[in-house]
Amino acid sequence: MASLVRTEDTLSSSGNKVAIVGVGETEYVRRSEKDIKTLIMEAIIAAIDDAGISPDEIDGIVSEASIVPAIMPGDEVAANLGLAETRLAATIGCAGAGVVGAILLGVQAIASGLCNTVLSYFGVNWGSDPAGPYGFHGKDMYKASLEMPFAFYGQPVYFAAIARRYMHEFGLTTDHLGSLAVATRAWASLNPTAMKREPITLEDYYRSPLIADPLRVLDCCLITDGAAAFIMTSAGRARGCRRRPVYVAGAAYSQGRYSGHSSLTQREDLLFTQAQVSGPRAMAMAGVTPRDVDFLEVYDCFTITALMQIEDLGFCGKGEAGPLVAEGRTAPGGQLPVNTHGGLLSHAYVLGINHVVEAVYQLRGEAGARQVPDARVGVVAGSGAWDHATVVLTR
Amino acid sequence: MKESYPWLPDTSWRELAPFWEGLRRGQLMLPRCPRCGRFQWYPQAMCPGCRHIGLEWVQVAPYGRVYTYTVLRRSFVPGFEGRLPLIIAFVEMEEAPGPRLITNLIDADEDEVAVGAPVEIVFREVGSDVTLPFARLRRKGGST
Repeated sequence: MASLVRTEDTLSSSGNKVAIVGVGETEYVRRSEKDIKTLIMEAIIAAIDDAGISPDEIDGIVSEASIVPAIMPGDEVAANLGLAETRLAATIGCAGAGVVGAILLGVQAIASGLCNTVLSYFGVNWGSDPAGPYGFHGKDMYKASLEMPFAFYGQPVYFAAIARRYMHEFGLTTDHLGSLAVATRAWASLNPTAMKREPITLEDYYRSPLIADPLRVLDCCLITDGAAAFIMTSAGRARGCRRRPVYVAGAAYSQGRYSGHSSLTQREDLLFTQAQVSGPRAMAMAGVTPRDVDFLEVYDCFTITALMQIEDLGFCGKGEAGPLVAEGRTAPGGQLPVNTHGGLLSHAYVLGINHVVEAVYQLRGEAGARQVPDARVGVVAGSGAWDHATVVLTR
Repeated sequence: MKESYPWLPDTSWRELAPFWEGLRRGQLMLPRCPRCGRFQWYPQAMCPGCRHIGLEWVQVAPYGRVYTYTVLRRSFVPGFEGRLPLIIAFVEMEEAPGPRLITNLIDADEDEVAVGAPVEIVFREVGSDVTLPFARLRRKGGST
C-alpha cells in the first residue's frame, strides 16, 4: 500500500489543507420543466449561498470530462456567473469517476496556490432528453460497429454480462444483488429528497422485470433531471465560511489501461475496478483504513457495480460484499452504512455528485433521520468505464 | 434474412475494414502485433505489450468458448424487439488469447448457454455486403 502514495501526495500539512465549504442541489425529478443549464446554475448558486462566499471569489472551475462538456462546459458557467477571470477550467475522467475525480483537481489547484476557491458541478437531463443515458455511448465507432449489431448496448446490458461472470467466479447470487437494492431503498426511505422512498423487500425485487439477465429493473439506477454543485477552498478561507468545513483528507484518481468501450468488454480483469488502486491510495493519504470509515457513498449505477467497489476499495475480500450486504451490514443501523441518501438506485441518478453532497451533510451532522451517529470519516467512490476516483472526507 | 437487420455497422470505416472483408470471405480476422504476437482487440495504433506501431490482421480458427453472457429481455437498440429474448455472448477464441468477440448465440435455448460453453463462429450475411459473426453451440457429437 505504501507504494501507492508518494510523499507529495500527503494532504495533512495544514498549510495546504483543502475543505468543501458549500453544497447545493436542485430537486431531483424524472422530468424537470427547467432546462439543464438553468438547473446547473440553480445548484451552483445554492452551493455559493451555502458557503457564504461571493461568487467573485471563484477562480477555478472543475468537472467531469466525458458528459459535462457537451451539456454545459466550465466557460459557460463562468460566463453565467459573470466571472472576470478564471485561472483554471479543467475536467477529468469518465462519468462517476470524473465527478469524484474533480475533487482531486480542486485539491491540487488550491494546495499548489494556483486557485483560492474552486467550483465543481454536475447535472444531467437524461429524464427529459429522448436519447437518455444511452445517447452518448452510440457515438463510439467500435461500439456502433462491433457491439450494437448484436444489441449489446445500454449500461444495464454491459453490467449484466459482468454480473453473470461474477456469479461464476465469486459465488455472487441474485439474493446478494437484491439485498443491495433493498438496503439502499431503506436509506432512501429516510431521505425526503430521494426520488424513490417506498421501502421494498426481496420479494418486490424478484417481482421487478428482468432487463438483461440477471439484472432487473430494481438493479438499475433511476433516470433523473437534476444538478448539484460544491465549493472547495483553503482551510484558512474555510474558517470564515458559513458552515463547518469538511476536509479532503485523501483524494485519488486511477485510470486503467483500456479506453472507451473496450474497457467494458476487453479488460482481462473485467471483474475488478480501478477502485482497487484509488481506494487504498486515497485512504493511505488520509492515514485511515477501511475500519476507520464511518460511512461509504459508492457509485451504484447498478447493484453489481456497488458490490464490486465495496470489495475493491478494501472493505472486504472479493466475493464477500454480497454476504455482507445480505446480512444487513450496509443498511440503516449496520456497521458500514452505504449510500445513506439512497444512492443512484433510489435517491437520484446524477452520477454521484449527490454522493459528495450527502457525505458533506453527514460530516456536518445535517443528515436528519438518516444521520450516521458521530460520523467523522466518510469515503466517496466514483466509477466510470475505464477509471475510478476515491476521496476521504473528514470533519 | 428477409426482414431488414435492425443495426448494420458502417463497414466503410477503415479501422475495421479487414475484419468486414474477412467475414465476407467466411474468415474471422483479428489484429495481432507482428513483433510480439499479442492480439489487440479492439484495434489501436500501437501494441500495448511491446509498443510496436502497426498491427497485422491474421485469420483465426472460428472456435471459442463463452466467457460470459446475458439474456436480453429489453433492447436499447430499436428493431430488436421481435428477436427477444436474445442471448448476447462474449466469446474468447481458442487461437487468439485476449480478444472477446461480442456476438449473439443463435439456434440455442437460453437454458443451454453457460459460462465456458464451447461455440463455433458462423457467418451470416445480414445486409448488402455486410456479414456478421454469430456463435453456435458446439454440441457433443455434433458439427456444422
